[in-house]
Amino acid sequence: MTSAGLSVGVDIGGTFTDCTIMHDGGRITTGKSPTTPDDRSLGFFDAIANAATNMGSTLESVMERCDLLVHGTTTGTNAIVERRGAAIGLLATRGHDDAMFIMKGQGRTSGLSPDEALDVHSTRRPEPLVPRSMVRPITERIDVDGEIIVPLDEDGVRDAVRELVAAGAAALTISFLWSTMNPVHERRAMEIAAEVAPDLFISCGSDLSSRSGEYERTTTAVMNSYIGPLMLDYVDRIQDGARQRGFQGSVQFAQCAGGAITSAEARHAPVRTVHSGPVAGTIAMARIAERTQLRNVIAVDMGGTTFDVSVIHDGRPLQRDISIFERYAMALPMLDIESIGAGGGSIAWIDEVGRLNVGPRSAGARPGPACYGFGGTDATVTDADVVLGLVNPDNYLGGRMRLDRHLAEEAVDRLAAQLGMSRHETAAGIATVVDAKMADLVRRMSLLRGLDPRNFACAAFGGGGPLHAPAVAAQAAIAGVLVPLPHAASVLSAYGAATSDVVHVVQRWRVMKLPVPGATVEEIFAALETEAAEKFAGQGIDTAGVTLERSVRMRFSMQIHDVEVPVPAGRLDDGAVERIDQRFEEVHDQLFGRGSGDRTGGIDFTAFQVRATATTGRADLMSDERHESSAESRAVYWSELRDFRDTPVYEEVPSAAIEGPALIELPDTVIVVRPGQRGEPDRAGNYVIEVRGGTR
Amino acid sequence: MRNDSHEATSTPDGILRRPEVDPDFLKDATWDGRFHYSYVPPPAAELRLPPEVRLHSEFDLDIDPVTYQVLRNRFWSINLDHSDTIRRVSGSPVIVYMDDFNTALLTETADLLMAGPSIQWFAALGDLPIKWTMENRGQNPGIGEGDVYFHNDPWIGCTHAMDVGMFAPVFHEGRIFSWIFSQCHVGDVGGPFPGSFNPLANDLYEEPVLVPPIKLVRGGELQIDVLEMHTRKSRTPDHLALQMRSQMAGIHTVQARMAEVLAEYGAATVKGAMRRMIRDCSAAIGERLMRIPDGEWSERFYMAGLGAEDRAAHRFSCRIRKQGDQLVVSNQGTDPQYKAASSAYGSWRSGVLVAVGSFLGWDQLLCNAGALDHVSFEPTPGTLSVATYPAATTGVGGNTAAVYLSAFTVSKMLMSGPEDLSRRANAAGGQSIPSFWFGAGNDRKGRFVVQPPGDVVAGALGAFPDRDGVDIGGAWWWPNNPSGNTEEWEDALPILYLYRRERQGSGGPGRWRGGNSLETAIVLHKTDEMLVQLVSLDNAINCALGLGGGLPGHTGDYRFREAGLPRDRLASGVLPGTPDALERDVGELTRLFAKEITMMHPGDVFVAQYCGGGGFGDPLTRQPELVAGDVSSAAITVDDARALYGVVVDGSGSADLTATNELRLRMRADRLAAARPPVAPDDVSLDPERYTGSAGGAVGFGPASDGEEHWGCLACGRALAPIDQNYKDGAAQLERAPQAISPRQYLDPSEFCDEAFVVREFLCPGCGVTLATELCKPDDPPVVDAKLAARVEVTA
Repeated sequence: MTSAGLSVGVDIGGTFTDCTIMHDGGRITTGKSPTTPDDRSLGFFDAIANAATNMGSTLESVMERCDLLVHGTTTGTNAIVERRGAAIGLLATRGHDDAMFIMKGQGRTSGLSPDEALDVHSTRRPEPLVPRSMVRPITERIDVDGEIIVPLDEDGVRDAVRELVAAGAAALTISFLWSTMNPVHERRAMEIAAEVAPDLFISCGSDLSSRSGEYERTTTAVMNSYIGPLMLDYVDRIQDGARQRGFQGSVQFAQCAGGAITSAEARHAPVRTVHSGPVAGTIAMARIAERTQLRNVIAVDMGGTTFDVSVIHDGRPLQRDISIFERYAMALPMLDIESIGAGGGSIAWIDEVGRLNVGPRSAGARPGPACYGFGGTDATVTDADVVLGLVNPDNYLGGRMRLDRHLAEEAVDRLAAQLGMSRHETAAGIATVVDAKMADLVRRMSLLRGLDPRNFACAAFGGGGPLHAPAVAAQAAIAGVLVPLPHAASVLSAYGAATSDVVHVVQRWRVMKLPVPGATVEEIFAALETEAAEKFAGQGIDTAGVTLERSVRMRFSMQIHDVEVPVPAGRLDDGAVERIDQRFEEVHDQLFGRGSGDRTGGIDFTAFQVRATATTGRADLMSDERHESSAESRAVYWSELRDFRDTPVYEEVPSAAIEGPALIELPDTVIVVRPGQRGEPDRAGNYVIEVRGGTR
Repeated sequence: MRNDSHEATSTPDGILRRPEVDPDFLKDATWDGRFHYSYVPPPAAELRLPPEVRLHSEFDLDIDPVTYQVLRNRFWSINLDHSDTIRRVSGSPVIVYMDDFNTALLTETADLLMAGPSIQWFAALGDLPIKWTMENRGQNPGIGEGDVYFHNDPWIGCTHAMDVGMFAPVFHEGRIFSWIFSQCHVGDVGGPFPGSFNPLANDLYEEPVLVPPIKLVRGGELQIDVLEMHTRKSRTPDHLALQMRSQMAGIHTVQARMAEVLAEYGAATVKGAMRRMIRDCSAAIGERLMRIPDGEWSERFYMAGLGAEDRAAHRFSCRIRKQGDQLVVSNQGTDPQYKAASSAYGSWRSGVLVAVGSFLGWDQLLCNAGALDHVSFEPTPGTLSVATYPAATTGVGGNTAAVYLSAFTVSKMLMSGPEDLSRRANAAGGQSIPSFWFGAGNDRKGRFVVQPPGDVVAGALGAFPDRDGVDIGGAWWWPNNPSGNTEEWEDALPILYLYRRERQGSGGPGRWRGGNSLETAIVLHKTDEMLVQLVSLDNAINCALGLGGGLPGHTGDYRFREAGLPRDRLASGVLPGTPDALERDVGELTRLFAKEITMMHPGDVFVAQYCGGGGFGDPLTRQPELVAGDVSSAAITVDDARALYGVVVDGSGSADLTATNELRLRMRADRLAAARPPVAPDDVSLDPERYTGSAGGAVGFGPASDGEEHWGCLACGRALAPIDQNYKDGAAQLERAPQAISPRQYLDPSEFCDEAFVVREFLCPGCGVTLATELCKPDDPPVVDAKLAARVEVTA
């Protein structure tokens, strides 16, 4: 799908809302605005308006000319991480109302690194997402074949919903055993619940996952309900706001497995938007890496509130089918991203034994860092960066926001007095502590996965990425930092959203023993392709440019797991099915070794799948402009030198190589080349910093 | 405190040089795994290798810290890939959903570098068959590139006949660079009963056939005759074949990934990282051992129901002697081998090693070789824990006993150490007790299946000296511990669960509460009959014991009701979702004997309750607020709060502190009045301010008025005994039938055992606080929890 219109991507973070507009066949213009926590849609449109101004247009004009508006967000993630979601009730099959506490027996170590899991004394189950007092057993039972064994006690559902609402439930999860085989009880219970409490947000297990395994399915539905009420309100405000401002289409939402879903899907399954902001950034980074011929990238995204790390290994972002999120397993495919509370807004504080700590609490957008002058008095990472001279208070966000150096100094001084250190030592200490925390996460994502960080480039984006990654990389043994598209780097997630592929994966789970007539398989695929086409039509996307990839999942009949086998395009006949059968054995041998399977019990198809992708317009990634830039200079305090150094400050990316220390002050971020490091743009328009001491 | 009277003995280069059993101990018999006695391997440095076995042994310990970390974690992830491959190729639900297997990486001399996060004592067996094979098969048929061996022989080193140990070398430059190992439990390898457990077996001739290490793959070619030699015996030969193929696939995965690592970092560096891991693990464990005073710790417990109609109690003993950083572990005092509950030396050794490795080397990625560097064994053969050929071994009694006893005794040793170590002591967990069952029959599609559901491993962690255990917390020796979903087991077995829930009040009472365990009720579903076989022990006697005065966890139980809930009653809306509702809807259920084999029919109800974790410390000292919190989270009942904890919870759910105080004072006074006075009262006085050490819980020691060191009560300061004697001699003793303490929590031992059993509580004669508990025969002498070298050089 190519478009003559505009593609707009918006990413709402904890502190800033970012926007990119793609126009004129691949040019990109960016915008940024503070996040507005009380009503995030305000910041959403402010950011678009800011970008519109930057391209010499207006919000209204952009909205009218826009034919793709994609939104990525960490709103749902933050609500779960900070445990700020809705009070929820859970209806479960009687006798199985403990499934969320039993956690398949794995709650004690789920989501822990090996060293954490093996330290028995420190292991415990996570706090429950739904307290026992909000779980109600419902008399009903469906069996493994989908047959009703015990009919649904409808009165019991009614009473339970009334009780839960009276106890304060704002959302409800209904998750019964075997609802994937027969959802009739879940559906009926949902109808009853909607009658009893029409305003309740309700999630059903079978609507969100078609996999068997009640624990993961229930967790998915519980997480969905937990953020449901919040996200519903939010999605509506954005969709309505966009319409009021002249947008004709449907807002798309970036999702956690990559690609975009419609606002209707996001309302129904908000859990799919979890992590979608950082995911969009990772996808964009993967594309840039591909163009730059980088196979291994550790992508770090530092905003105001969180620091997100993902890994692109051998050209592909790491992904999981069952995601462990906040130590609970969800049946939801997701890119493998980990976050910690570390960003420009992270607050520095002193603990009871007198140690300096930074984060995870963030000053957010309001009051924000002390230097914002919105009434915050806590020293944050941004305040420290201002005190050190890394951030120019008169040229923050391209001069759109003035920072108050004096307030930053006051905030840092308060800590300095308690620590008995100088102002600049204290500011350098704040930066060092937060850098060390971020380096820990980078190590966790690389070393703990057995990946050698020295074979990876660290791609740094988000407003704080280019500023802090050069120090983080040095600590995490990474040899090089890459700032992708320096002018878009601070808003890379928004850029990723604007250039999202729209992807629909439609599946049919059906176990069929081979041989199966080619015509039968063809019929199934045709139906799936029709289903995918209908989804695109519903989004107003022309299906002409959609690419379709068919695959089947297969196993030796005695096996439990299956493997994916690609199915070539074209009409399938019996011969084609035979070739798929051969291909399966090849795939299996390749994965597990020659002769690893056993045909004795036969071969099964277990599922049929069509992956339909509509490619949106691509930005011309080589177009990032370069300038001959001359430098002014200012005094900057460098912790490694324990002193000030008069440091050249470039206002544009210089095309010649520069030796650190140096700063490149771009409108939305600062690229820091630390003492001993060396910076230079590559041919693809990215900025590359060589980190001393990182090479093997 | 530090004990400086001994030199550190940890290996400087990761090569193990000490014999694991003192040669004096072995001199009367040939411990070679070929006839009566198990295989006891020489230290890695002294392997008796034929010239054909060429090892790639060069290594460089001088590795930069980043490379070292990358390689450590790379090995971990390669080992996980090994496990994942087995799961993905396997067709066995117990492998895929329940992790009834483990994988390991070993050096060229088969030092166990790293176990996976599944059953640790499976992996810890890995070095034995590999060393044996290098010594005994290295010449004929030889060990070549692309070869794979398997075995299932407990006298070489595996749990029992149903566990297939498979291993293969990684070759580099034509020499053996390292080894890959997996051990998987398989559904059926033949023998008289489906599932291959035989509770009636008198010896191994009534059990599945054992296979010592045999070459299964020769230079990359599967020897189909060898495979079918093994699968022919099975009731489910195709599944067994696929299971073995999954293990071969796992080996293939590791070989490919090891080749990548070797290409990337070079052999000397990769091996250097391996040797350093062993060195570092040994150093960490050694350093921790040096900080514990020298002494001796022991534990004893009984198993009953070891065979069909067995109404006797059989004793297992463990004693650990520590000097400097070396431990000597003995099973002396363990009863003679008996029926299928016996285990061979390898299982006992494996249990000891995982206990030492986990409790002292928790940060060393399960590097068993590092633990082995600090342990030697004194095996008494012919016993339940070190049985000799031809004992029957399918019942796994000795294995789990070894893991349980070793960990419990190691915990007692930790309790004599400094606070950062003593808090890691752990009361027994629910899975300490080998208690499971499996079903065998045709499933709803007419396929013959034989396997347990994952419920049997949901477990419960026992309490610690400073915190509660973990409800449904699995086992410390099984970090992954998956018990699977209800939906997975209903697909795998022809059953329908009525309920699968946490059992209220099943954690052992204590100052810190043991973890609650699981309880399930099932009916048969969509099949005519299924054989239910219990592979258990008499629950009344085999429960998870408390530490430091804590009480045992719920004993677990199996109950049955014929035709309790026909399908038409379910269809009419009767769905009992709790134990109480079940009893109401189907009537009383009958207890089953530990080795019961029952044919289950439609409508029959089968209830399985699993052991809860043991508690820590006197339950009457648990903070009342915590007890009230347990009531409000439904972890215990209001009645438990009062009867077991002495806490009165009022109508609003809060603890009534005044009433609680009164009740607790009365309970303490009552139990002290009912107790026998101390055997040997200690007349000296101790200054509570001057305690210099502790045996954990409420027992400490310090200089007394006679100038010598004495044990004493930490709560009130009362002296108990001189330091080189048993502190229990100075304690009052209260003996009660278990069921008298709580009929809901503990069963009556006399139902299935002819020997009397009591819970014996040792009370401080001064204040009445519980110092220790035992579950024992009335005439048993008290266990010597800790005997410290007199006048140890310790400083606070």
